[in-house]
Amino acid sequence: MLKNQVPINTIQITQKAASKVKQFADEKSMSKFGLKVSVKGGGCSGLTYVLDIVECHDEEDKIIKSSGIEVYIPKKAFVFLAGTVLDFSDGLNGKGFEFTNPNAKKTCGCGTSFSV
Amino acid sequence: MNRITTNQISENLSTRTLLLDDNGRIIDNFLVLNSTAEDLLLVSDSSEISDLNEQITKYIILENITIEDISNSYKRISIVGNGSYKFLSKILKSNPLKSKNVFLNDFNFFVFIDKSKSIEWIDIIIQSKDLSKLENIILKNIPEISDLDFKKFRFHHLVTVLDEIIGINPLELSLINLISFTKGCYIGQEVIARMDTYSKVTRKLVRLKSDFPFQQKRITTIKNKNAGHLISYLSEESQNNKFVALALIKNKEVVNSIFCGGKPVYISD
Repeated sequence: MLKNQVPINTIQITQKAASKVKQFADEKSMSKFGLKVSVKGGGCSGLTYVLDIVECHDEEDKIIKSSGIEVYIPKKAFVFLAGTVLDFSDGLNGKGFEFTNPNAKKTCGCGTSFSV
Repeated sequence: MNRITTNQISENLSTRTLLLDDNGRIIDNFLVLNSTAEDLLLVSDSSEISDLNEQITKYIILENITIEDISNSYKRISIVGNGSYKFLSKILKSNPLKSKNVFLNDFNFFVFIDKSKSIEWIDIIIQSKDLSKLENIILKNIPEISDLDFKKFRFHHLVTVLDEIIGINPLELSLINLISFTKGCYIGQEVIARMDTYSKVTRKLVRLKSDFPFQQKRITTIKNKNAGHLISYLSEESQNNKFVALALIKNKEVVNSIFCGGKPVYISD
């Protein structure tokens, strides 16, 4: 599936991103975990992505399973993230976790913030 | 507020800061007073508080933050000009004067020393119910000036107000004191950092004088090309029978002859 073909009612985690999340969870010795993907105000373009590895989800989170991991997204943040692909770019010049967000009209140079 | 505005906002530290859009252009200019971990008192320069409320609210996504409009409960008095620090220090019996919450007789108020201005400038934020008490003390000693005189005074010291600078990049207005280059990201930061690093600021704020009233905003070169624009002007004659204005002029035209409506205008020191 191409990045721009992710259904708008979900988000997708690539295998590479998922294995990196699993690696971080292992380092924290977390047997049960999920990836919390959220958004907060601020950053160069107005809205900033927030990633966190958590043990459980909150009541109002939307839960999606992608590439073998559970992804928790607060419903208020989902409106900004629907259709997003989360990838991981490694190597010396890699950018780490990378978002491809169809809702973003503009992103900053480092890719951590966006505007809609 | 630290994530969305230009200046460093720290607990128990009052500061002046800018809210920019993602293109680095000014939306609002406000004071953040008495900031604690739980509460911030924002004093906006905007006359449209609902606009500011809307601008900030759109960046509140998951945080448990509420904004309350308490405009009717507070008033602002500005004491400006040389001698202002000395004057207020004398009243408060406090030296050196610092930005803080002060107590005087049976009331209290916030004093903000605004170092971003080119002259001594103090903003006092006081509860509306105590305003007359403070006015009685201040106006006994220094005069209240009219709106027109205040505008002349501002122009003389290259001090702008929010209505004149909305949509302009703060670096063009020399508002660099309101920007922290070390605090990390805020809205518009990428544009501001790039313009500063690569010296991409192409216009500057100047005071213009003319023998004729300013009749249009556009400032031109001798070849009628764009040299800049007025951001504010006085329709009455000011000192020495001259008309004065504040304008943003292209750096490369500052040393050349410039015109407004075909009449020559001069950049005043």
